[in-house]
Amino acid sequence: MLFNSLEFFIFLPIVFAMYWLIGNKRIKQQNLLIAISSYVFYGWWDWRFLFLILFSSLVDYTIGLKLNSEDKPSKRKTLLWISICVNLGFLGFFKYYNFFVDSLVESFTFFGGQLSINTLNIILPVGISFYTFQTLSYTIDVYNKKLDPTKDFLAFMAFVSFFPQLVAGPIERATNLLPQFHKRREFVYENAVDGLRQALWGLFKKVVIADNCATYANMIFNNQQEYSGSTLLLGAFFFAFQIYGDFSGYSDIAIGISRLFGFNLKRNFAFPYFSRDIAEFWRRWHISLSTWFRDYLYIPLGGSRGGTKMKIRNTFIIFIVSGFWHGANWTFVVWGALNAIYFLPLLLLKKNRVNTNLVSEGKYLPTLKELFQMLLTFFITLIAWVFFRADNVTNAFIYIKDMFSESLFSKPDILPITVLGLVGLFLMIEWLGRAGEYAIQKIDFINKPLRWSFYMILIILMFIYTGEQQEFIYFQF
Amino acid sequence: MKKFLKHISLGFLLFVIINILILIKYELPAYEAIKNKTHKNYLKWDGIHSNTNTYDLIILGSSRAYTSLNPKVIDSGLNLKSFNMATSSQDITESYYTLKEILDYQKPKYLVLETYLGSCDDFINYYQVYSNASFFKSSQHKYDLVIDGYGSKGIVNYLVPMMKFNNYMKQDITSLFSKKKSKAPKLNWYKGFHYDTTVVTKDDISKFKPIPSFKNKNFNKDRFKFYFDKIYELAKTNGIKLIVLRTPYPPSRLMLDSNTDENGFYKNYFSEFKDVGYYDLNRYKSNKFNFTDNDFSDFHHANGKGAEKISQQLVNIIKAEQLN
Repeated sequence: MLFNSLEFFIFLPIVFAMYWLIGNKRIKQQNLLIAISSYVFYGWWDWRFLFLILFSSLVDYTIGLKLNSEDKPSKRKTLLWISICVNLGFLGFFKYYNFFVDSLVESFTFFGGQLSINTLNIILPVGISFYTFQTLSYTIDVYNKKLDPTKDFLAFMAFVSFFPQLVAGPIERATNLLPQFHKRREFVYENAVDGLRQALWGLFKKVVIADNCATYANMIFNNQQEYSGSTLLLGAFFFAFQIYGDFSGYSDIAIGISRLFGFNLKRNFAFPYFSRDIAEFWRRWHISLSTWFRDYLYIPLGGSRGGTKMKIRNTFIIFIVSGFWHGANWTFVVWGALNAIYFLPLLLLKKNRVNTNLVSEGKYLPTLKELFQMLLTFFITLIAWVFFRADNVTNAFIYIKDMFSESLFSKPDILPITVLGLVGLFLMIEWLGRAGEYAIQKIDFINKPLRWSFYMILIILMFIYTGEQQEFIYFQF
Repeated sequence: MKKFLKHISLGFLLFVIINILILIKYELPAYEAIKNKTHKNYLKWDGIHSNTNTYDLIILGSSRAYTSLNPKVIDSGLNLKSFNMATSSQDITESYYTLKEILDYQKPKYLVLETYLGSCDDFINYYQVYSNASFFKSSQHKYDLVIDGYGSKGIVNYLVPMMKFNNYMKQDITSLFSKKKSKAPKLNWYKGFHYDTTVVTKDDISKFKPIPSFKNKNFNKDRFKFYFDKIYELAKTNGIKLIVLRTPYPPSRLMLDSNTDENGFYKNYFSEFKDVGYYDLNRYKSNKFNFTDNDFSDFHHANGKGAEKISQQLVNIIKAEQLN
């Protein structure tokens, strides 16, 4: 079920009404409703994969309890590894099996050998990368004794399958979300309004920005050989806003809807395109994944505590793994490596934490230096997005080579003024609202009639400028 | 909670009111046209519903077909009765359901289906689709068109005027910032054919863009194939000879195009159907018909003069098909 579909607009009010009719004194019944609704939500795509979520939940729930009763370090470690193997085993099979087979066969061919292994016709279960990481975080936290295991399987099931963030995040930590399933959830008017507003903004980002940009990004990337350098640059620009609008839009909707049910999810995006360097970009982009890798991979590997070699190694590992998490294609690996290359100089020069504050805080306009830094950071991420979007690494290199040809300075073959205008409007709102958790959070200072008019304008724009409905990009991850 | 629900209801009410206002603005002229019997789709469907089992040849497709194929020329050239049931922005899905409705009232021998990339891209003009379908007498066909044909997006577009009229609202917003006001063409209809005397201006020609191609259109091949197969099956079951056409573009516009246009795709695709003829009228006996920009009223619609040539092309095609 897509957030921007008719089905979801029917589903959500029904679940919302039932949830609050049950009342917040009956936590178990509310959790049961969330679990059932989440399974319906997920099963709408493919009910067969519900068994996968159920199995994953059962494994981690049981291991969590066993970890609690087991004191022997070796046995505890074995239990942890069972959980890791089961979760990553599913992920590896469904997402990476064909990739590994293809790569193995290609390597043999490259070295003059021959190997015959058939690939399988595997359907990737939607959101597997997200819920796998979520359940893994639970087991690891219980293992590290940062969290007491839950004895309430229903609450755990609801935690793993919580429908607002099940298929595309934010990847929630058990330490944050799971305790909320054990507590009474209050309906607070201000929170619900804030949640609805955030969901509205997320929907705007998805329907107006991402889907409209997608039309042109797809057209240009699918026919890259036909276009001038300036058009290719425009294509990369549209993709940058497609992926941002799409993914941050999904996160906003997820966070907003969760608030309607009395849950607080972690922030996932913090205006990444206003970053002044790549380190800041990575503190602001897909925060739940970056922090997951930081806590469960980078720090256990030694983080930035060791010597230069170790720092370089760890940086490459975390970025490449993060790239690989996105998909079974070398393009994602190169995308990750490229970001590591961008990031390394800052780390080695100890300048990776220079820009931790809000850009131009309290000012309407950035300084020329800040503007230059933001444009440069945006430009290098744009180049990296070409690898992320391209079908293969060769095409990505050709795309970039053609982009930097003489025709870079010609008039683009396609110039959709309306879409560019919408992106401009969107950027302006994001800039003005960058002090909030999301762009229109601080709109309360405007009087009510104007505020309501603004909401209505957003809704009208969504209906008028709705692009062709596209699936959320991050579903494929 | 009460306050929250009150505000949600109020917001919903406001949304409904805005939609009603939009509905009034955009639907009222259509209702007046129906009352005055000048509504083009009303007139077309009246022709089909009132003259049962009359027409031997039915034309389906977009405005590019209803400005190109003149039943008067076709009828005299082939000694049969034809009717042009092409409607504005008609896409392949709509053509299929339109054909189903027509077959309840007519038993044609020929079906001429006009198609071009715009007939099945990602852009669907729901207002035009539903304006056409609103004259179906069969509720089942209407229901199938909305539900099966366009799915949940179709339902939303059917129910929410803000969505259904969004193209027209976009145009109105754009026109606020544009000095040029478009003139409504003088309407002159004959058996579903729009006879237009306008000739494209030199100024318009200088602004021509390349014709739609896979480079600048997101053509939905799967949907096209799905509905074309259905049309093919329906025609076959009813013993109808199916002819597929792409109507001509102004020559100077055609010249702007690279070699990536849709012709290759159609040729390839239709070659799989032994009993379907596909003709790109841009190329069919092009020396004989010698199209000039003066045969067009704008960047892709033929005018009355152009339509005579195009209709004659169709007459020649059918005569050749009959010989085969």
